Amino acid sequence: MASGRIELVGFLCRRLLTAVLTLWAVFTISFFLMRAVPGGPFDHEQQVPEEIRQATADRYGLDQPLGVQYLRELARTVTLDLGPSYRLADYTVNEVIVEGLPTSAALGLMALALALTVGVPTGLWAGLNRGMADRWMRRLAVLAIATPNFVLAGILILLFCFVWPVLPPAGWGQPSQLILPAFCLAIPFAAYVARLARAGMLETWNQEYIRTAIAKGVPRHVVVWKHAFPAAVLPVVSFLGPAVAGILTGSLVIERIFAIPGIGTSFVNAALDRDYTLAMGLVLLYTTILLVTNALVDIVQKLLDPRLESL
Amino acid sequence: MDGATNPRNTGQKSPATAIPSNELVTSLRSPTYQAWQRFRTNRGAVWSMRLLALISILAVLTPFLPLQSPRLALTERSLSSPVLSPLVVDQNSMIAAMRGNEAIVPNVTTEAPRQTNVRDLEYGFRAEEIDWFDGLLFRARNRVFGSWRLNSLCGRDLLGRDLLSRIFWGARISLAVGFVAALVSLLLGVIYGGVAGFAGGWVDSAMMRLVDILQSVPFIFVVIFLVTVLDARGGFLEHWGLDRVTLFFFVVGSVFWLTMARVVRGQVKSLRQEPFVEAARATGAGRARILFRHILPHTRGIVLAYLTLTVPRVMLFEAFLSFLGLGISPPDVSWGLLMQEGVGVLTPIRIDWWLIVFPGLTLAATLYMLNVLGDGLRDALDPKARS
Repeated sequence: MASGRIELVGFLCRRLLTAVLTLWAVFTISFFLMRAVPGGPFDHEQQVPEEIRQATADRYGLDQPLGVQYLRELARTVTLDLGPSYRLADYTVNEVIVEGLPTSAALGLMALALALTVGVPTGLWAGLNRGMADRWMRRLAVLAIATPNFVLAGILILLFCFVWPVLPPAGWGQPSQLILPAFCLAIPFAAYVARLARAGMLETWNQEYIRTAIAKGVPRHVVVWKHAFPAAVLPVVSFLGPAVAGILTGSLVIERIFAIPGIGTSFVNAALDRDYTLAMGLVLLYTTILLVTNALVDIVQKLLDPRLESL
Repeated sequence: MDGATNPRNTGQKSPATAIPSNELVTSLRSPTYQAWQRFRTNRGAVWSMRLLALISILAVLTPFLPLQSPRLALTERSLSSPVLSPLVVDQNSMIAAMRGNEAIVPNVTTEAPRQTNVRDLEYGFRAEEIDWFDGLLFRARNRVFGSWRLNSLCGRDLLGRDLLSRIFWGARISLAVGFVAALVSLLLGVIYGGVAGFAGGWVDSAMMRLVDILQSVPFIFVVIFLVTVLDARGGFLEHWGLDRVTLFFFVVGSVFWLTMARVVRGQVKSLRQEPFVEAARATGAGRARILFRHILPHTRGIVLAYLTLTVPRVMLFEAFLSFLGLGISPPDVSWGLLMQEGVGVLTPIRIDWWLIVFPGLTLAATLYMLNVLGDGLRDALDPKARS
C-alpha cells in the first residue's frame, strides 16, 4: 500500500515535469513564431484603437531586446496573466476565458457523458450478442466515425429545425438548445467507445476466469457486471484522453454552427482576426486541459487494473 | 474495425478458408498473394476501392467533363433549387444573358469575359491558373461538347454558381490535399520510425519519448495558430512565395506522421532480428543500406494500410479547417468550404437543403469509403493488429 502511494507520487511528479516542459515548449515556439513574422502586428491594419496600441506597447516592452521581452512574457504567463487581447478592446485574455470556459465545459462534459452512456452499453451488448445486430452496429460505427460533425450538424439542423421544427437551430441558455450541439459532438465518440467496449468485452469473455465463474454457477448478470465489466471497459478508459482532445476540437466547429458563446468560438475568431495573444492563451489553456486529462486517465486506469506495473 | 461491412469476414482469419484450395498450396504462396486473397473476400473494402478509384479519375478529369464553370456566378439565379430538365444548357448563352445585366453583377471581374473570348478555355479562370494538363482537358472538352454543359442538377449557391461543378472542382483539392499530405506524413514517419527502430537502445527511447510528448500536444490548435501566424499579410507565406495549399500539405503532413512512425518502428524492431539482415551485414552492407534497401521495403504492406487510414484523417482535417474559414480560400473550392457556404445560408425563412446535403453526403461517403478501404487493407496486410 505504502509503496503504491510512493509510486503514485513519483508518477505525478514525472507527469508534472513533462507537462511543464510541454507547456514551456508550446509557449516558446509560439512566442518566437509571433515575433519572427516580418512587420509588426499593426503594420497592415487601417485602424487600431489607440488604447490597444498603448496597452500592447506598455505590456510587451517593445523597445526592449527580444530576450528580455521573452523572459518578461514567460514570467507573466507563469503567474497566469495572459495579457490583453490584440483585437477586443477592453478585454484581457483571462476575461475571455472566464466568460467562455463554463459554457464550453458544460457542452463538452454533456457530450462526453452522452458518448459514454450511449457507447458503453451498446458496445457491451454487441460484444455479448454477436450476430446481425452486431454487424449493423459496426457498420453504423464506421459511418459515425467517418462523418464530419459539421455535416452531421447541418443535416440534423435541416431535419429537426426546418423539416420537423422541434428544436432551436442556434443559441445558448435553454436546455433545448443543448440537445443538438451535444448530440453532434458526441456521436463520433460514442461510436469509438462502442467499438472499444465491444472489443474489450469480446476479449474478456474468452478469459478463463470468466469461464470459471460461469462454471461455478454464478448468475450471468453478475458475471457480466462484476467479473467482466471492469476489464472490458479498460480500453474505453484509455480512450478518454484522445476523446477529450477530440471533443475540444469538435467544439470549435459545433460552437460556431450553433452560435454558442464558448472559448471555441473565441479561438476561431482569434485565429481569423489574427489576435495572437488570445490565440496563444487559448492554445496554452487547451494544452493544459489535455495534459491534466491524460494524467487523470492514467491514474484511473491504474486503479482499475492493478496489474499495470509502471505508470 | 475489422472489415465492418463484410458479412463473410470470419473467413479472413485463416487464408485456407478464404481460398478453396488446400492449405499447403496456400501457405507456399507469397505473403502479398495471401494478403490479396484476404483482401478480396472483404466485399465492402473492394467496392470502396473501386468507387474511390472512379471518384479520383473523375476528379482528375474534371476539366474534361461538361460542367458549368465553377466561377460562373449567375446572381439572378441565386439559390435556385436542383433541376433535371433540360439536362443540358448552353453556357455561352448564359454568359451572354448575364453580361446584359452586368451592372447588377458586381463580382464579375472585368477581364473575365475577355479571357473567355481570347483563350476560350473556361469562364472565370485566369490564364496562369490553367496548367498544360488542364488546358489540354479544357480544349478536348470544348471540342467534344462545345459550349453545352450539364444543367445545375444539384442546384445553385448564393452567388448562383453551379453546385455540381463546384463539388467536382472541390474534389480535386480535397483529394489532392488528402493524398499529398498523407505522402508527406509517410515520408517523415517511415524515416523517423525506421531510424528509431533500427538504432535501438537509448536513441530509440529518446526518439519515441519525443513522439509521446508530441502526441500529447493538441496539434489542431497549434496548427490553427501556425496558419494564423504564417499567413499574416506580408508574412511568411508572401515572403517565400508560397500559397496556402502548399502550406497545408506541409503543416498537415508534419502533424499526422506520429502513428506512422510508431507502426514502422515496431516493424523495424522485429525485422532487425531476421536472418536476412544478418546476411546483409555479413556481405558488408552499411547501416543505411541495410535499413533502406533491406528492412524498410518489408514494411510496405503495413505502411500502405496506415497510409490509406491517414488520408481520411487528413481530408477531415482540411475540411474542418476550411469550414472554419482557416483552410482553402476562394476562388479555390474544397468540400469543407462548400459545407461552410451551405451552413452559412441556413435561415429560418428558406431551406436550401441541396447546399448542405450534396456536399455533405459527398464528403461523408468519401471518408466512409476511405475508412472501409483502410480497415480492409490493414486487416489483410497486418492480421495481428486486428482490434
